Amino acid sequence: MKAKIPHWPLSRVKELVAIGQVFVQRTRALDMFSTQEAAYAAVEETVAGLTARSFAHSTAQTRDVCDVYGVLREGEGWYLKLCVDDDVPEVAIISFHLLERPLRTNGGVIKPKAYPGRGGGQ
Amino acid sequence: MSKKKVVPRCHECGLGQVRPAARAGRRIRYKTIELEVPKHVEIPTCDQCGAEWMDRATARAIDQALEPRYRESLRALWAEIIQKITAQTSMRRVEQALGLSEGYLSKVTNGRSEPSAELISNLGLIAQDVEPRLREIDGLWRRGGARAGKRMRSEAKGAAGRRRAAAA
Repeated sequence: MKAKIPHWPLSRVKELVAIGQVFVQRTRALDMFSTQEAAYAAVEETVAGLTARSFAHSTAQTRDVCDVYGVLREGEGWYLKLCVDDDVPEVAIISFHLLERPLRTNGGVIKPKAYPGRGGGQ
Repeated sequence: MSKKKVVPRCHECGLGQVRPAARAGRRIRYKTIELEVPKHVEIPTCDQCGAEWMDRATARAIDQALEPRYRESLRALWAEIIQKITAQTSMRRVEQALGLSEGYLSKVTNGRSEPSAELISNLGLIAQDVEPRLREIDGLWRRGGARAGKRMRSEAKGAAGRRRAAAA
């Protein structure tokens, strides 16, 4: 099967992350980290480590096209949704939370930890 | 000519603009406790859907504002728990069970040391039912000692067997 390609080139995303242009939506999911700085650092680290294999699909938000990735962090599957705003410019992280259901990425299916028959993926 | 700063658009609703907002009533979990963010702390917020956003500076500002509140909450919890425990047993008894150095609990109570969340959670569990919980902990250490003794005896037995085999 042909690998899917993200709408926002990863090179551009990483370029913005490298200069600290990351804007993260503050949701309850971030309360899983002990502090806000720890949450922000985790997001930055995760985005900086994204690869084409972790790309799942693109999705249309009200006015943006967002890219969805599935990544493994310390053995747990995480869902990450981002888009690039070239007006600011910045990477906007719309969602970053533990996977709630299996997610098919270019590298395989990532499953939530408590999901039966966990395996595959990255 | 200076470059005009662009007001970010909200990527959650796609409609509003994200501007710094300071208000009361925002609660965030900080370390182990959910706390109210002081109302003067500005968090970039969408003027349409209310979604909150953060950059590194905002994350740091929130943490800096919450750390003293967190410490204060831990101290209040500590006082409540210690009072409950010491009404039923001695501090030394608890220190021994938890492997703390002598006088540590009173050091924290007197403000000479900061209580940790780990210690408070242990003490909080003990405070629910002091003597039975302390007996459970004593039992745990006793089991640990018995296991270590068993392992040492079996290792000694093995070494003696090897020595006998080498001599034969």
